[in-house]
Amino acid sequence: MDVVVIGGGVNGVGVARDAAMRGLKVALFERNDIAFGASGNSSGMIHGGARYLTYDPHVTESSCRDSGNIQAIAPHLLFRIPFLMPVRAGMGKKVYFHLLDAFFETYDRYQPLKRGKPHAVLSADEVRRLEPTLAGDLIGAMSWDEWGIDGARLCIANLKDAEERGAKVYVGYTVEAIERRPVSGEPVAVRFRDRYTGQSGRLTTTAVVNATGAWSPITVSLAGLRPVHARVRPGKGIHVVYDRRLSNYAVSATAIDGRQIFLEPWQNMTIVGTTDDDYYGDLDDVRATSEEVRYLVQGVARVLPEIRTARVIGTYAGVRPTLHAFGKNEDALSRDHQVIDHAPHGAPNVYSMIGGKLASYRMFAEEMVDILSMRFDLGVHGSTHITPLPGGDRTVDAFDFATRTGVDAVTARRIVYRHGSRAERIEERMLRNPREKMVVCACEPVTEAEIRYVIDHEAPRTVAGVARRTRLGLGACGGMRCAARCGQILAHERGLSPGEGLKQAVRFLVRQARTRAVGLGPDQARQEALAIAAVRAELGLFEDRGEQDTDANVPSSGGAPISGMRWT
Amino acid sequence: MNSKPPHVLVVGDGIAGTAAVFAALEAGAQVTLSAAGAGATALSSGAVDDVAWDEVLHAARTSGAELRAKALDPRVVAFSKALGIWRLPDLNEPLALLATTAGVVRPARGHDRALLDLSTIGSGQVAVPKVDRAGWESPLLASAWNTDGEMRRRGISFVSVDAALLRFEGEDRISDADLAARHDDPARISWLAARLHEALHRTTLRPAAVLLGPWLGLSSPRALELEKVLGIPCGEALMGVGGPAGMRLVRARDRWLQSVSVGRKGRTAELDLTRDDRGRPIVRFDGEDGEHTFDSVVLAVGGLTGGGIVYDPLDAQATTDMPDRYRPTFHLSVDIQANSEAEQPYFAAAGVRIGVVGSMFGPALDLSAWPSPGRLGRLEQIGIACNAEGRVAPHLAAAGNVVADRARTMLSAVMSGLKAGKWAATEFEA
Ligand SMILES: Cc1cc2nc3c(=O)[nH]c(=O)nc-3n(C[C@H](O)[C@H](O)[C@H](O)COP(=O)(O)OP(=O)(O)OC[C@H]3O[C@@H](n4cnc5c(N)ncnc54)[C@H](O)[C@@H]3O)c2cc1C
Ligand SMILES: Cc1cc2nc3c(=O)[nH]c(=O)nc-3n(C[C@H](O)[C@H](O)[C@H](O)COP(=O)(O)OP(=O)(O)OC[C@H]3O[C@@H](n4cnc5c(N)ncnc54)[C@H](O)[C@@H]3O)c2cc1C
Repeated sequence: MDVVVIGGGVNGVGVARDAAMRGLKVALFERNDIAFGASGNSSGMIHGGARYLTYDPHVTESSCRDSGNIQAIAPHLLFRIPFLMPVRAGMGKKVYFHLLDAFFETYDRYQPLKRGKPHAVLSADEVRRLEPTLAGDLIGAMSWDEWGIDGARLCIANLKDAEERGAKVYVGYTVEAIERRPVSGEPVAVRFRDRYTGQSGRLTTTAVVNATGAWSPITVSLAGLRPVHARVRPGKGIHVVYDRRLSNYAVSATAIDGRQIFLEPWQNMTIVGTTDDDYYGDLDDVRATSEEVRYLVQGVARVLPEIRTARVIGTYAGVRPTLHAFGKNEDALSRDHQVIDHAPHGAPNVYSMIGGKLASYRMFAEEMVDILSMRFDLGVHGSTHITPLPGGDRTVDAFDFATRTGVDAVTARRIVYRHGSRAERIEERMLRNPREKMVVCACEPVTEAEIRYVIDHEAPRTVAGVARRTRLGLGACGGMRCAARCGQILAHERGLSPGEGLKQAVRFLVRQARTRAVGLGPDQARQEALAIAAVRAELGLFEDRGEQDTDANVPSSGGAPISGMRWT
Repeated sequence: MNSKPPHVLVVGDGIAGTAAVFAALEAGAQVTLSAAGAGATALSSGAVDDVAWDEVLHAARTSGAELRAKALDPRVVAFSKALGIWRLPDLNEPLALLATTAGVVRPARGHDRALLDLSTIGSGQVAVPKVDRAGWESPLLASAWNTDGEMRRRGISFVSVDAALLRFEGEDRISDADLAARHDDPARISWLAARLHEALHRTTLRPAAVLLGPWLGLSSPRALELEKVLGIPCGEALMGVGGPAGMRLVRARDRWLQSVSVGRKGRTAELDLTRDDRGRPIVRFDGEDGEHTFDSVVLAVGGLTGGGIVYDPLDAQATTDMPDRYRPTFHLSVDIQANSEAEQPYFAAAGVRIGVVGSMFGPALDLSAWPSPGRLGRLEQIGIACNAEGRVAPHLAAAGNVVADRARTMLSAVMSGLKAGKWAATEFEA
């Protein structure tokens, strides 16, 4: 290999794609699952970087421009989120209101770069008409435009493109060591292990890119470097997920400590976020606590009291890989990401990517591959900003899709959202085998055809992996009805024993239940008790499935990339 | 005691309340039943357990013992006879083995007669018809059941067979319960039997049994009619939630209730133990102005699923930043006025009294809400405390899922209902 990329977050897959496009031989290793870390647990927004406006408009400009680029290459994955910032009456608020207006007027100048609309100043009456449940004595509100995205789908699209351009992808494989030459300090190979089968292997490589986000300090230590050489401030952030869309607009609110938090309609649900606290626990098991949930609910309840009685259907958490120096002196810092070249630490050709955002992943990856391009003397420029991601090349009309396949319009819309023009491949499956039109997860909804397609082409290894890619089991019923079926299908497609599939289903259900329990309210408690009874009745809560045969558990692929899975 | 029989009010018409009515009538009481819509009983799966089955299986595996039925209280057997839809194996008979739509084969102390009991068919092949419906992936299910160790040991295997069992347009999309309801029609069941007969004839298979999805009748188990035609055991697979089994149980209960003499009331709103000079409960029902006095009351209002216990955390009660008064996080669906703190029913879990929980989301619910091996989940454990007879306070008993720290199974609800009904009819002043 020319380059081994460690980490399957948005930065890792972004680098793998760009490097593969420029002709490098790339392998990508992901220890848990694609988008398992910060990338799959973010607020799901492609910001324009408005907050940089006051001290470095260049950053805002490039953020907006790149947000526009992401829209151009993956139009199917973006959806508009209009924001509302209600302003309450009070001392000095009139002046504040005018300042805000001026601020957003400046931001408007960059909106066309990302196809955003100019901001609007709303009177108290207008606000009330738009969102009748807003509380407090308002003098008005500011409204502006942002874009939402499904972070996991963005990662998968990049991964798929990388693989189609020849990258090797190892999902569920931990890099355990980075071997380096004794004298020059350059990398020779990485050693890795399959977390599901325990099998290990070694892959030779010329360069290594550490794109492991909050794990970065641990990862550089695998190369014998000191953790401080890839320092991050691990900032844990949580989100609370509510059933259905509770408002038309995203609403920003202020938490008790003055931090800005928000409620946003996101896909077919509502999410409330987020927090930012130093985190030094287990990065493979980051969960929200009830205190964190409470902090958010209290803050949002000040503008939207109804939130207290809304039904929480889940929580999720991630750890931001914030640049260590960032935040100390925001004015002095023009960007929030950085490539660290470890040559000065005695390890040439080893690089760490620290920080970043979903919104800027493409630029960050391009910067990284520009460095590799010099190192390998490629002389090719990046073109990820003009080359559509898989599914982003053409639009597919969801209603036509529904008519052709006979699935209902909502199902069709969800498929087209997630897969763009690749939805046609799912359609082919449906037409070939009409049975696969069956809906497995009714909340989302997800059909059997999509599950099988995703297993075939998007490299999930577990039920949770399928859920990350399709949102199966993440709706109101918590997977009670669909996890076991998904487990069966996964086992079938992967040639695993059915017992293994069921074990995965139980694991998924219990993990989801834990993340829900910290936000439990009256309705969800009843649903939770029902789910426990239902799961116990048909699946059992013991993970050990005793005497079922285990010989079928080991995938035949051995040490080969598991994604060998027939990507097309 | 005077000559007039005591008047017992049973609150809740789930399986525990029904058992309480049964026992109270048997003890000679006059009985009124208050009901407020479907609870856990109406949603149940058709399996009838005494303790959680995965623990039964785990224990059997560890000790190497066979899966055999433990003794049943004769009162439970009598109650089950009255309902008339369960099969409960006798002492030392093999435990029932049920195939679930999640792809598992599980033991059960008993079951709804429409469910196929795999312990009764010896060895051989079980035909699993292919039916074009979501949730019924016959080849996948068959291969999942085929990996079960117990099935292999017994020489039972599952074979997916082609069959056209849907009769009308759209039957691939209607709910399981709707399809089950269509099989309540005797003509439709004979049609189904004929199709199955044809389908099996077309194969070389000589199956020992036929296993279908949860579709065999909504008002009563129809599997026996299929068996008569095909000459081999036929039945449903178990579905955790949303199947017709709970509905069949509720219909069986209604048939039994119609055969006895019981007064009926709607939802119970309030129960006052303080005003009557003999300490008898004075009760108010929803939508009624008057009050009624009973000699005793059995609370069988169910747990969180049944709506008898409501989880109502402080933050959800508040509309402003801070809650203005503290109320317990859990409360009953019935308002109870007691004479003293000591007589007020209190919530407990794991033997510990639960007071006012200050935090919205409760203590470490993420780790304790769901069960783990050997431990009930807190959302199930929670309930009101009572003694072994079901007594909560003078004139007041509790039964079923509203009681703390009881296995959340059908038979334990029945047993506690029988005890509480008897206590309420005889010893209520103790
Ligand atoms: C709460 C929250 C909200 C956010 N909101 C937004 C937002 O709205 N908009 C936005 O643009 N950005 C947002 N971000 C920021 C953005 O999500 C992150 O900056 C970005 O996803 C970082 O991606 P990454 O690839 O560097 O890291 P990650 O996504 O964390 O990926 C690192 C991966 O490396 C893997 N790994 C670790 N060690 C190994 C090993 N030894 N071998 C193999 N693999 C390994 C991990 O399993 C993990 O999947 C948010 C972040 C958080 C936490
Ligand atoms: C999905 C599911 C699957 C299950 N599977 C199994 C299984 O496989 N095996 C097994 O053994 N058990 C199973 N169970 C458990 C079993 O069904 C319960 O333990 C049992 O039904 C509890 O009965 P109950 O009478 O205590 O409560 P419920 O059936 O909940 O009855 C309580 C009733 O009280 C009523 N009520 C509440 N408040 C009032 C009021 N104020 N006034 C009047 N009425 C009121 C409610 O409307 C309700 O009908 C399952 C349960 C569920 C939900």
